[in-house]
Amino acid sequence: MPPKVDPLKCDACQGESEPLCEQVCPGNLMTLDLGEPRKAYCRDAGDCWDCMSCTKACPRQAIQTTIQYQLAYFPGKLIPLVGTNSVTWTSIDCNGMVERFVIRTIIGSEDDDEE
Amino acid sequence: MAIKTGIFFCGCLGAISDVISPAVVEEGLKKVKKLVGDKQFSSWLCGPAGIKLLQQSIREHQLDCVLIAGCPGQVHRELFQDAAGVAGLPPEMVLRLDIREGCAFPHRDNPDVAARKAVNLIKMWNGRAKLAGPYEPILVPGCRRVLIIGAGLAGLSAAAELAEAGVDVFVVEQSSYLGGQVARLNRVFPRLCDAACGITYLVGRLNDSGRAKFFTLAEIASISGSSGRFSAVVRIAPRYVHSSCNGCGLCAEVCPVEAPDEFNCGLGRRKAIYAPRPLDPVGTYLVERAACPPGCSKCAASCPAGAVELEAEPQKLELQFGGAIVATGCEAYDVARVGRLGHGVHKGVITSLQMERLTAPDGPTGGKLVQPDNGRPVQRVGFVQCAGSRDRGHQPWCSSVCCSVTMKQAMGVKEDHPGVRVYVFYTDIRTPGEYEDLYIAAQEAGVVFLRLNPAEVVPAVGDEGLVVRGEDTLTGQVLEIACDLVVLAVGLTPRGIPAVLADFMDGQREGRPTDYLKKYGLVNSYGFFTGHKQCFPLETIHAGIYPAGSCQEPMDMASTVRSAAGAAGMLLKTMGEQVEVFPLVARIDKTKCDKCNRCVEECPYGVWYYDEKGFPTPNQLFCRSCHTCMGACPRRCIVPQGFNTLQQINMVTAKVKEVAPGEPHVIAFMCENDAYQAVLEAGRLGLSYPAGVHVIPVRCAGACNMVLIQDGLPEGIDGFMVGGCYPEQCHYTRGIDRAEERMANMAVTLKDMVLDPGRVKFIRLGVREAPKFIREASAFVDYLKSIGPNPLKGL
Repeated sequence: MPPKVDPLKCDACQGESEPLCEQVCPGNLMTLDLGEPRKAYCRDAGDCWDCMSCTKACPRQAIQTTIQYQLAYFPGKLIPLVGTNSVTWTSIDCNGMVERFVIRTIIGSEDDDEE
Repeated sequence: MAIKTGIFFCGCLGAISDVISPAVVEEGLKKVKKLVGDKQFSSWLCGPAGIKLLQQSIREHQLDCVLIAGCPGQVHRELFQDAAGVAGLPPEMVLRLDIREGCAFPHRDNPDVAARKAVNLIKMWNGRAKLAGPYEPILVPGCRRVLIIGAGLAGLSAAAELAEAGVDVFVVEQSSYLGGQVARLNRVFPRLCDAACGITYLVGRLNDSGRAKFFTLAEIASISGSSGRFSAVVRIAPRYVHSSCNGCGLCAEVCPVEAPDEFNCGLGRRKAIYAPRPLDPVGTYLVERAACPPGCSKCAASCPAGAVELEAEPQKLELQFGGAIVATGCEAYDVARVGRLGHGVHKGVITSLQMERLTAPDGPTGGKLVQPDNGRPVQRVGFVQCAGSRDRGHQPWCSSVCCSVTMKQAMGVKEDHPGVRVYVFYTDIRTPGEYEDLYIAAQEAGVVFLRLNPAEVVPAVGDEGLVVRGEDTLTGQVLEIACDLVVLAVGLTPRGIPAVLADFMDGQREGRPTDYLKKYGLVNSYGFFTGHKQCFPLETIHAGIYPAGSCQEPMDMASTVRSAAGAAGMLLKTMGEQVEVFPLVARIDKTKCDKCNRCVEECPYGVWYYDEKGFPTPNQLFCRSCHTCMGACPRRCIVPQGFNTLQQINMVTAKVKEVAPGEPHVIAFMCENDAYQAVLEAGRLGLSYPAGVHVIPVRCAGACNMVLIQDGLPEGIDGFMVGGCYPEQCHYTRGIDRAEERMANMAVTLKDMVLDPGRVKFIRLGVREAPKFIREASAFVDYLKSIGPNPLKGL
């Protein structure tokens, strides 16, 4: 399922010519529309393979990826929140059940005094 | 990067140690060992024994950073910095953690909780200390050139200050002469000296400096660039007379066209080719080409020097400059719009500026006070105050100088012509400060004051002259006063910012103007370029462009010169060969930057530009160090010296424990200018707030990067607060609005993640609003308790 952009949250990377989602998309699918004000969108939903690069890169968390229907039907969502040393995933399945995972991306950070 | 931090816990002679047990803190910090050189408790760290302990420890353990947990950072600042300095530590490596006002005082009644909070805070600050480094001096090549728009008193004064400091100044003036409105005045109050004297002196100073270039009949055609590296195209209209003109005046004698003389405010007439104003250094005659009859070239034929070139084209000139001063000033209100006063209808009704020309020795009558229409001597003069001013239908503001101007003119008339009767029709006399002396002197000179706002000025019946009719509001009588000359004390209308420059400063986003100047109140509703009034009246959206003089507000000459000196001072900070800038200015780590441009867009001062590789780069000369860019950067690559995002992340992710079972753990980022002061005030007043609230002072709420929340949530922090000032009160214009907007966005993200959006809270706090902080913090913690702990805790 293609990435869905929340028009209320997207700020077109503050009027930049090439927003972050456009920069990271491996398929070069994300771009800005010509609306007023401009918003990012996925110009070819069929070509998107759900890598979620744009979803993770968006500094305003304006892009959502819905899970493929084989895995979860419509309300299913997978939401990453990218921190410095971790990514926090929230998975919502078709029944609205919520699961959360915190993945540490840097092991053994500076502050390992405790334990 | 500090590799050996010393942690010093001060008992503050019981103020802290009576609440927070040093033993408990010591126990809590037992496992904090990495990169920590020493841990010491002192019962009185600022006492002689404490200072000795501090210095001994620094020397013995070769500490490169000390963390003093005790009183707030501003208390004993020099004492600790000097003491550490003696032992070899730079002042910025003395980190201060407030556990007196921030922990011991508010949690006095619960020592266990207070001790645990103190341990948490020390751990957080220890995380910060690990990334703290000594400041390196930042040297930046300074600017050498300044553009000044407007060659009136403000523009020339600012130019003279700058030129004498070795700065090249380009003075761009719209009209054909230098001196602006002041050049037209006769005498100036309060010393009643000749106005031309001051302008002559300024122009002389500028010429002597050799650093000033004047462009008359010039305007800004376009402007581009950013602070410190502006570029403008100046369009210079031709004078149609070559510099070989020797000023003989033969051309004006043969010229067939007469036009009203605008220098004399329409009193008197001049030819289409006319003499320059006495103070014009460019100095040739000039032609008003639009007034020439087709095909006429009598002037060119008559010129013995062959200096007249009727086919000259406008010139375009590109100027590069580091900063600019907008000194466009004011003009007199077009009082003909106030129909009842009869200006433009009756010749005997003139404005106060025309009165200046009428009495000036170089004016159309040679300084003789006569009736403009028939040249007869004047016997009765009436001055009408507030002509178009303080009038909702015209100019609602008080122009502040017109009353003093009238006093000066009325006394001038009385002095030169003791027999002339002088009336002043006023609504309220406003002669602020020492100008009250003028009011008293005018009364003593025999000027008659009537509290009467004229209903109309009409010609006298059967007699030459005018009648001013109106109700005396003190007696209630309707009076009719006969006058030969009625002088309207007109208010000042701002000329505003030249359109090209205003558009440039307003900024464009996706082709639309962002209207920043109006939105942030830098240009007020009347069109005055007020800047960030009160605290930073010289502030604009683009650091490096400063207003000066009466384009800011109606001003007398003294204020104008002061304001010009202020603008020059702002620019002088950035001028010179090498300038050592404030150590906390923005710095960018280009290895991490992906050119996303958010910093450029969110900077409240427009100091960013793109380097040759396209990376955004701050112009550190003009950076105000608000760190709004740091809060905006999604890649965390803006790392100023001092307290940057990476240190803040270390603080947020420090391994801390709940202060009490089930007590929500809250991190509050508070703007150090006001919100944090309110928190300190709460501590001093002994007001209690929930102990789980860990306050971190930041430079501006806008410096808070949302990654702090993204990092803090998985660490199990239950709630985040960001506190700052009220709208339009931000010291950095836009920082607080950015923070509010980011927090609102974060709340939506939390909602998407099926977390409660109430876990993030944005509050506005004034400096003295300690009770409000208590209220808000308590309500927030109560809410967090009601929704339960952060579900990400322990994952």
